[in-house]
Amino acid sequence: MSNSGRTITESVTRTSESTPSPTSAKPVQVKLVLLGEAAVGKSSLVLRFVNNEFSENKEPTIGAAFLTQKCRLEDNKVIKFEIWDTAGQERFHSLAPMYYRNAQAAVVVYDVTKAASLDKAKSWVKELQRQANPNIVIALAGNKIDLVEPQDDSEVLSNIFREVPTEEARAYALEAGLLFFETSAKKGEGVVNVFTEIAKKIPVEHIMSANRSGSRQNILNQSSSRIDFQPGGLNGPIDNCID
Amino acid sequence: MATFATDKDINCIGLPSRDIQLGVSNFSAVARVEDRDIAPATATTEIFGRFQYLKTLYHPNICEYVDIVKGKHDRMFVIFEYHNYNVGDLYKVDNKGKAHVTRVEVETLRQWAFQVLKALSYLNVRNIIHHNLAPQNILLASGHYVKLADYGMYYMTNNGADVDFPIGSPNYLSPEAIYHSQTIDPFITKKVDVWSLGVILAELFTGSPFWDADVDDINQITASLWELLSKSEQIDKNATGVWDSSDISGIHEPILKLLQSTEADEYTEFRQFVKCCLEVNVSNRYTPDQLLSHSFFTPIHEAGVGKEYKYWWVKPFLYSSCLSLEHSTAPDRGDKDILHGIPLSQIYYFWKLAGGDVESELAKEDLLLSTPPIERIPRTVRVSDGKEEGTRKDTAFLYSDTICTLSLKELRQRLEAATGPNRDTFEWDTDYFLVVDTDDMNFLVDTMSDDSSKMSDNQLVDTYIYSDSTTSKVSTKSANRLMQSPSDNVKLPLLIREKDVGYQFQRVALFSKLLKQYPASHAEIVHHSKADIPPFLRGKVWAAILNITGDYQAVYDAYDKESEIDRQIDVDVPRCHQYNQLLSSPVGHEKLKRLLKCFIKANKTQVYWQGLDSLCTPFLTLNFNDEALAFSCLQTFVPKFLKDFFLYDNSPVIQEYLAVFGQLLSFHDPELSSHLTRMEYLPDLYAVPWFLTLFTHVFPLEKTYHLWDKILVGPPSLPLFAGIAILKQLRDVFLSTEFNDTIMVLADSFNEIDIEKCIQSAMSMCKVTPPSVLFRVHDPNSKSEPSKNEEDHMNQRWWEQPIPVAVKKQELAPRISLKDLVKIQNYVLVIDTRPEQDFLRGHFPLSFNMNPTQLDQVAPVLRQQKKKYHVVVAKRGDYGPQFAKDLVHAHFPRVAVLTGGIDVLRVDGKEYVPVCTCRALKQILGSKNKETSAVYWKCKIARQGIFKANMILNLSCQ
Repeated sequence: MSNSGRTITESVTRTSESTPSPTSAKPVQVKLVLLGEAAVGKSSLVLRFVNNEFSENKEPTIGAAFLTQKCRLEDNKVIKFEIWDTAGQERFHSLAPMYYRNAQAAVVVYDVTKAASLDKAKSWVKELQRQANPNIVIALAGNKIDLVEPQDDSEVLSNIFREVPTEEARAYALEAGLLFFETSAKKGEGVVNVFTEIAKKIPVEHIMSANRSGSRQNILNQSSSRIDFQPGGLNGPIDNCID
Repeated sequence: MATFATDKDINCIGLPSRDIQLGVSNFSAVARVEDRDIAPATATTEIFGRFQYLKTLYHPNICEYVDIVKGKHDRMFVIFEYHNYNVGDLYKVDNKGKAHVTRVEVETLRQWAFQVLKALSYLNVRNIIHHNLAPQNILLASGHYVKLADYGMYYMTNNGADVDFPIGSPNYLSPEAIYHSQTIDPFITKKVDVWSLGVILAELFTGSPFWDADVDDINQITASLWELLSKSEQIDKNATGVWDSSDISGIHEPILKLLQSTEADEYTEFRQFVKCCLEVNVSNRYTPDQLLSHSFFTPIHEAGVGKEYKYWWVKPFLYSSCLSLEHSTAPDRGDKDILHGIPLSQIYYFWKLAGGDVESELAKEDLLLSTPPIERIPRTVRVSDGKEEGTRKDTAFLYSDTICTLSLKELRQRLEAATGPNRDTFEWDTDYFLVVDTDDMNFLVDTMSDDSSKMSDNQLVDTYIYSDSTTSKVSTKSANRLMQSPSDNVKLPLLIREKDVGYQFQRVALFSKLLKQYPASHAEIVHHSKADIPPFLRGKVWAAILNITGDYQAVYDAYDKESEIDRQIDVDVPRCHQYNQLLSSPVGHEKLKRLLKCFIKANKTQVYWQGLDSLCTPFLTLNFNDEALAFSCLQTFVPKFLKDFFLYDNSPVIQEYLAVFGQLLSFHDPELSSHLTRMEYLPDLYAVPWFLTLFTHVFPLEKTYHLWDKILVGPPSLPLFAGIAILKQLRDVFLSTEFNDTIMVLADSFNEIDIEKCIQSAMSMCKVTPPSVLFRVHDPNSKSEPSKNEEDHMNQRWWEQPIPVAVKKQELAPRISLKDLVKIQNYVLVIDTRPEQDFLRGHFPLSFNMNPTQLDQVAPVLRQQKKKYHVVVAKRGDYGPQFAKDLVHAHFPRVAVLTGGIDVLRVDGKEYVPVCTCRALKQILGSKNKETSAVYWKCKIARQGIFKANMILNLSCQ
């Protein structure tokens, strides 16, 4: 994979896993969960963000998939997103709390060509606001805008229409206190933006101090001290917590 | 294989003579402008999907279609039955471009026409139109058979829409085929072939080409056709017909003479027949079926030739190879062909295994089309004044229908070598489940001796592992042999065996024979399948293993698969295993949707969970032309391996399954389990798609086939062990990585997993796992131990209450029953954690007693015992499970907690092993300093086997 699409000239730079970040202290780990109706493009969104790839007819996610990606903030702080990409089918709902529990961020995705998918997104937002971490940063992303953009070659008349007007979704996001974006995982539009805006809004200091305070899950679980247990290397994950 | 037999299987007598060949033709599909939003199937994919149906066709007068292959640059290769001689051989073109035709007797023409029409009629019933009937496509097989070739082109290309070139030679295409190409009414279009037949018959009768024009002059032919068409429209009302008018141009004189002759001679019937074929007005032209009753064929009907067509078109449910059918008694030849009696599709399969590749074969012959084929006839626009507008193309650029035949010489040599006197002898190691490590425990062997008496119970589990009593006897015998000399058990890796033409030839022959005797041969099929399953017959062998019987087609047909719309199915199917050529074709999408909807209809309590689509794909791809069989397999498979996994609320079932999986991991790989648990990397996070789809979601289909080959003939718990085997293959990486990387490694590794090793490791774990360790409440195969005293059940047998799943997940170590503990007692270290007074009052023979908080100090002593199993005995509600967890974290292998602890020993002990009350030995470890020293007790009966121990106990303890 080429690196061409990886660097963005914004305030935030995605860093490649292989190059050590020069000045940074340990990256701040941010657990992020993707939620939304089936086939709205959750996996494609993550794949675009993490690998800058897109594949048509991506197979459905069952249970959940996990990926990570680092972002560097303006002040050289590095955020490492630990992304849980969940299954969209309603029936897998009962698994969802396992993934959004302790998440600091959530991206709730809908498909701009399917009005019903926004309703589902709203119910996810409600659930998150009721049951997830109270400080969770939630972003609402309307995906697949490439389908409703005017085509260059106007001969191909698309029979797919936008069902969710931008303004309607934006108004809802404002009211519910969400970040709002429209994206195209296929063309890569707006995808990185979603994650960088979340990164900016995450209370990084708060997380770091929480981490320092020492209530690590792994320490709680360590009942036998004789097990060899080495923390990861310089660039590896610094610890194994998922809180 | 009466049950799964297709028309082909039953009627096909294989290669009757050496004159049958495998032919290959190639073409390219139209390159459509890809609609970038919906990404529809390409024309190539569409053709690939539609072709599959053609493989099922079988009729004495058509050539079989064998396979289609996608080559480089989207080139398609079609492999079909081919014969050396065809009617086209009677045509010669001289160097001036004039065609010459050899005359044929009318009696022969009658036979040929009859057989061609029989073939057309067969095809028409199946909505297939030849549209390309020409002398080259009428092959002459031995035994006076006429066989049509190339009849599938129009069908597989969606009436020609998927290719750039029109289908059909202009010399033989009917007027309406050229000028009304939009017509899709099948009643009209099937008459195209009748016209072509008329032209061919007229040519062969007169010995003259039909058209006056040079063979290359397409424009003149189309002009003549246009003229005929307009004439017929003018005089349509008259009864006379076009051919009687005097000013017809472009048609050869002898042909016109034949059509216009009014003489009453012996050819009158023939003339009338040809005129019926050559009726310009398509609505008046006869259909193939109508022509078959034409008086021209009266001699054939009278001679009773029709009896040759007494084939069983309706599937019979009883068939014996001993039953001699008229046509199946081929005379024995002196030099028997090794390929004799083998179906063509098998021959092609072996040809490929012997190193054949159609693409390189055609490249060798220089028959590959280097540029996309271009039009054969001009695209013509009908203008009001009768002139045409269109592009002029000459035949040099036409679609090449050159056929290359595949040489079977090398295959014959290889097979003769493989089956000759010096052949390789293959050891088919069917003792897969029974190979025993002499100083290890094999619960499968054990179960076998337990179960052999109750085979009549018809217990699925039992029949699965041990097919029948004769088989198990054989197996036991050879198991002993293998125990003595394990080096005899060396065999080639599966992937090599699957590519070995000699080996596959023998395997396919063996399984074909067994399938013919199915269902009687069910047990034998299961037995032989344990070694391996020949990929060529996999679909049917699986069905036989699953014991599919009866009229499954009728069952499938009875369900409504069309009316309900399921949005989730609709969005998932086009995303399901799309790398597979069958599944990515539109035909494949339709079939998968029907299969899923049928499953939901047929199982009222089950719903569509994402993943069910993947689960269907192995059965669908293996039985692509037999949806009903795929459905029956699924219907039998799910209750056996995934019972209740697709309930609306399946979480109790899955959660319990995952809990057992977690415990099994601790049991077999405590170090890995301990590491993963510490990271909170729980099965819930990664294993749901594994078990919900039985690995179809995580493995590519080729790997799934191999995995399922074993799962189908294995014990029902095999999938759990396969999961552990997968983790174990990656354990070194896991142990050195942390949470994030572990997940990534796992996600990326599925392509590299070695399935054969995985299965071997799964089986060896399965063999040494006591069944009680696997107990699940939701397992259809679990039988809880029968309770003897019903009255005090609640009080005394508290351990028979199921353990809540949440507790199971907390406890790393599984529970083991007393019955199983007694079986492994030569390999087990029983650790008693009760206070020492209790221990001295009565304990499990040969057990250790220790304070559970002193594991650190006592662990080295425990390790020195070098036992394969570690079982914790505790009091009800005591520290037992927690201590077992500590043992797992200390990497003790195969740790379990005795179900019911000391209580079960007191209640059931008499039956299995009495409680020992010896004065155990006290051992003190470490310094005299009380704070660091540890104490443990050791039952002092000498180390003996259970019988001796019992005897001593009986003598000393009473």
